[in-house]
Amino acid sequence: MRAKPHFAFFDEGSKKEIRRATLKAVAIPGYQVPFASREMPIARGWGTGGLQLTLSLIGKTDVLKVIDQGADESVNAVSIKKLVQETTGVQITDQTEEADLIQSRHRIPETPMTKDQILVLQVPMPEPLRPVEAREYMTKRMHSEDDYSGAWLMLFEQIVKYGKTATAADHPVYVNGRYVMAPSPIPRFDNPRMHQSEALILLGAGREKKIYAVPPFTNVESLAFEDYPFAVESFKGKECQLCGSAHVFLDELIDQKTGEPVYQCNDTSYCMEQLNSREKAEVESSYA
Amino acid sequence: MAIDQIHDLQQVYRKLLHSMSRPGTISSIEQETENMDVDFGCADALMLSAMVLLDAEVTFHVLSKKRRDLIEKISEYTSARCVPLQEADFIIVLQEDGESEILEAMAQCKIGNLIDPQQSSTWIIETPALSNKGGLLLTGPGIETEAHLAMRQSSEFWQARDSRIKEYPMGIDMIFADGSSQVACLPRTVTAILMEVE
Amino acid sequence: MGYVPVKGGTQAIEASIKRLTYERLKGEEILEVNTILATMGSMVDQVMSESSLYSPELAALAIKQGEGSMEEAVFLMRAHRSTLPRHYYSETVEAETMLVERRISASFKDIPGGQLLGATYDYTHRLLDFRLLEESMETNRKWLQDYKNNLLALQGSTEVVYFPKVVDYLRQEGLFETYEPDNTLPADVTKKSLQFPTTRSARLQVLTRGQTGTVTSFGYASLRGYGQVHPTVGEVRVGKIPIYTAHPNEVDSDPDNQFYIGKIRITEVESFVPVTVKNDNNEDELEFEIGYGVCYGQNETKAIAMSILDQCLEHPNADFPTHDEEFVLLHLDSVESTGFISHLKLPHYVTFQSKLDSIRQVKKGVQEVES
Repeated sequence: MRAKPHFAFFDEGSKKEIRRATLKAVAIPGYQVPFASREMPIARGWGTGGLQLTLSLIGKTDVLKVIDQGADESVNAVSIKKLVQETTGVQITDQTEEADLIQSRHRIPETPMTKDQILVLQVPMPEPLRPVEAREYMTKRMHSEDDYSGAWLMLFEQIVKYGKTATAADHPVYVNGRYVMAPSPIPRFDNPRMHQSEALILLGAGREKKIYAVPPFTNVESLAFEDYPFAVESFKGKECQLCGSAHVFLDELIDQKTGEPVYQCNDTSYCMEQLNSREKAEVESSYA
Repeated sequence: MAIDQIHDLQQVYRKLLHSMSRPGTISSIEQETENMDVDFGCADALMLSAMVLLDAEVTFHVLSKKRRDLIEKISEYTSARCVPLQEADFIIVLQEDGESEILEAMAQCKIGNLIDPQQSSTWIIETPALSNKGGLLLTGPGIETEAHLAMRQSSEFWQARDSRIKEYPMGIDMIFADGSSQVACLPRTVTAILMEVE
Repeated sequence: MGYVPVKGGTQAIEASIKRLTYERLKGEEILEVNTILATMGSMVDQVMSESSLYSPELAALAIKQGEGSMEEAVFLMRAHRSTLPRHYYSETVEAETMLVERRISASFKDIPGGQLLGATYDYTHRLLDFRLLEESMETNRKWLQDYKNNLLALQGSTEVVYFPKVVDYLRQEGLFETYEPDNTLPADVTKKSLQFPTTRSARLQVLTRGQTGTVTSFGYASLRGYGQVHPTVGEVRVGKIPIYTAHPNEVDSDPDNQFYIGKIRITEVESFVPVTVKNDNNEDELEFEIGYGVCYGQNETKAIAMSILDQCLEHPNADFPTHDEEFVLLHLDSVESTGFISHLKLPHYVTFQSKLDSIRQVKKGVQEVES
């Protein structure tokens, strides 16, 4: 006896609970709303939070894109896409412009998102203060009291030790001037994309059981001191070896033959689009 | 009830989410309300919004003392429990409700606390026709510069709301539903200034 | 022409899954679910307990599919559980209604009802039995026949016997407090996530769903000095308990109108723990409290460890890790712990690139400001 999977895997009661939590998250930007967080057929730590959000949102006519580390073909992204498609039958796409739901692990797409799109980010550790305070009991109270001295201290200590802030990805941000939020391990490069975004951004942490949100047109400021401003990763002087793009986040690869570092667009579908539109332009100009 | 519990409710949820993320944006759920084959004695959009959000895990309160029938229908269709106002997760307001009842309810409803601001009430309010002309001037997260929403509530109503949202992050969130299957939402983050006095 | 994305990821996954299937099939043996049910009861019990889903058949299927991996089997069960609509809650179960198969106490030499050893590995000698390499159905059947014949020869009781709780005897003596029944609705951690500080019902749920190894290890750590609980096992009982549920729409809770929906086999442990309390004169006094442990199936080690941790968490103490509820409760869950550990296998090259950049910038000693 093989049971047919329910549309979008979950029973409707589970979806309802996620939906209620999502609406609260949108009403309190940057605040981590607790939710029950059902187990999924994909492991905890592998995107169950993002997946639960996607499955609570998705309908028959949606077009879904899933990326991991910027790549549509990453095994984890493929696995998630497979599960969603098996339980919904929705159309899948690689192209950012075609999708209206985008689930991503650790990157925001290079192509700016629009008001008709929702971005769902996968979050491993939703609590920005966790590096300085292990206890949930305490961090809840710090948020309630607007006490973010721990976050500032963390940055200050880095400056004292290294002469600059040394956060890598997941650099904490201030949302709507009230909550400090973990933007998920997106590179610092992507933090500015959250500020006054046209699209709604939802963040889900399945294992930690938290949903939070950045509504469109909301202020998102990366934490920094006045004399040590926020700095993104630098790719000065470097460009994608395939499409030539320069102001995008680049992956560093080792050239097999020379042993030298080479660079390539991290956002693979963006790179593809650049190559295709350049080729189209070349074809058109050769007929001019 | 010919509502598709999966797909119609999913569509209505998406519209509610869209309107809550972009306060002032009016969304139409006419396609979904068309599938309703029962008359609940209130705006279809209100009942459908309730069906999307309520279930056995949450509680609700209907302001009107004369609508036992609605309370029973909501419990029957959602399994949610009716409780006193101060405890309710969802508060249902009908057009016929008197202003003084509404103002008193707003003074007593849950607004959450600093540690758990999400433990607040969400209001689902039946209104006359929603429109983007005149009325309220809205600013805040979700709104690029400003938005306009008219829904014919009194200035006392907006003052009462102000007093409950001024201790952000505590506050209340509102869903408005009119008789033409339109919905609009006001989260607690939005500043609403009444431009015209009706 | 045009550039198309390389679909390497999809193909690789398909090949991986095929290889996994090959590994399970290549030996050309089939393990029947019935065989697992009949002969691997302990594993079935452990899977049911950690997945918090009582269904021996589903657990056996999960074991078969996961090729014996506890991590996989519990994962399968929990994911399945997520798809099941939750309509009702049962009535409170009284463990005194248990049809006892095994019931012992370490606190007394003899107890009302006696020490009923039942089926347990406790008294076996752990020597590998090589005869099991060549088991024959014929020999087994003969053994079963002899066993049944011997049972017939014994004087049995025709009455159903209920065993009183050992602790009740101590309550009568006034050594244990008798509490007014607290009918506060218990928490349901699968419907509402754990919030700190926790309630006891939430703690007990997390403990019973916990990974057997982890619960055991934390209980062990407590005994060895990383905790302050010194328990004596008051009672361990294993047996089946009946489950009833009331009609959801009925307001009256007349027990006669409840529905019997079946019985489940559980292990229940009550540990007696001496605690220091202040009496009316504000002097220190010793009293007993109960540490409670319960699991689906026969899981005695886990239930005993659970009873120790129950008491640890009833008495928060920052000096002892096993008395720290966040430390204990947030790290017990099989699906969560194995999931997060294994997630480290996922690509992390963007975050790593970010770290590389950070470290390089620091080494350069230059602050680059990008607009």
